[in-house]
Amino acid sequence: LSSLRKTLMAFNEISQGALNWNEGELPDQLTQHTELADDRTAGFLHLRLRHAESGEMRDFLLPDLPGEWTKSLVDKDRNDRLQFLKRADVIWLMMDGAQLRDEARRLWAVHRMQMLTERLRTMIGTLPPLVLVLTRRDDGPVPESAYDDLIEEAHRYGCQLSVVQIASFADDADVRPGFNVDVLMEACRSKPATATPCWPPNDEMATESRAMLRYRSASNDR
Amino acid sequence: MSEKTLILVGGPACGKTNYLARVWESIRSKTGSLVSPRPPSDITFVEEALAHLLQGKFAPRSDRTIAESTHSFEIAVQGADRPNDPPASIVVPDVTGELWRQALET
Repeated sequence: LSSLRKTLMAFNEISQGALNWNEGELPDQLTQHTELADDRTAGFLHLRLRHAESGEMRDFLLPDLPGEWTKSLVDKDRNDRLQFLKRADVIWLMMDGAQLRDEARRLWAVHRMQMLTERLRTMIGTLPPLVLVLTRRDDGPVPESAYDDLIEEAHRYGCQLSVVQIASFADDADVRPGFNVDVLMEACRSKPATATPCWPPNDEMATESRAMLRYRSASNDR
Repeated sequence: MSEKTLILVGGPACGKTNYLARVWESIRSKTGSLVSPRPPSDITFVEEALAHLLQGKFAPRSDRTIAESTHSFEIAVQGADRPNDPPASIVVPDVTGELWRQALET
């Protein structure tokens, strides 16, 4: 972490539940349910991270939204307070991995995510890369067959979709808290822009018909 | 697509809402011959019904305490092989079976 921002105070506040333990018993909620005083403005967490090996800096601006906002986007197409998504470089689609592992709930969970993706596509147009983030990996892995319909539909619409299974907390000794969060961050690494030369090479200009370019080429030949 | 009106009529508990939910999912998935160019704004009603079907249960009865339910569903559709045709509208007011029975009996 190379720089601290005021938003870390809020981050600390919502994660406070995970730090309070009741004599070894898990609290009812590890994080607070997100409630916003202003139901039109999202809260954001700004993190500037530096890659330990390459030194590359990367900024994350993570919105902390109530799940109800997503529900009203899907059910009523209420997108007025989610317009900032149009500027996103990557969108994480968070899903409860437990729902996908449960055959009784899987179809419904997949359907809702398909609807969410369709709403986003209608609102944004060409979608940025999507990362399907499956939580609760500590309770077990989600088989690929559980989400291949999502991948297939994303590809049908020309969307780039990758999948990362994470564990924010962990009950399982085989899976550590924070499992795959580094993989998730890496999945958001932007590709370096293709460098273009500031000035085109002279030999491409020799045949130019425009007077100014002919003059420049001729003066360089002297 | 010529303009036609189709009315879904049926007595109490004959499965109108469940049928409607399946129609919605079929159109949404864009895998059939009838597709929707964009989803309707308000899909709360059909989503609530579909939530039951996709979790292995039937949708419960429409609200019988009101004669004419405020729930309705409207969706623009076009043929999957005719993307340039102007879309047609399917409008489905979710009228309770009791109201149809009342209309029949009186």
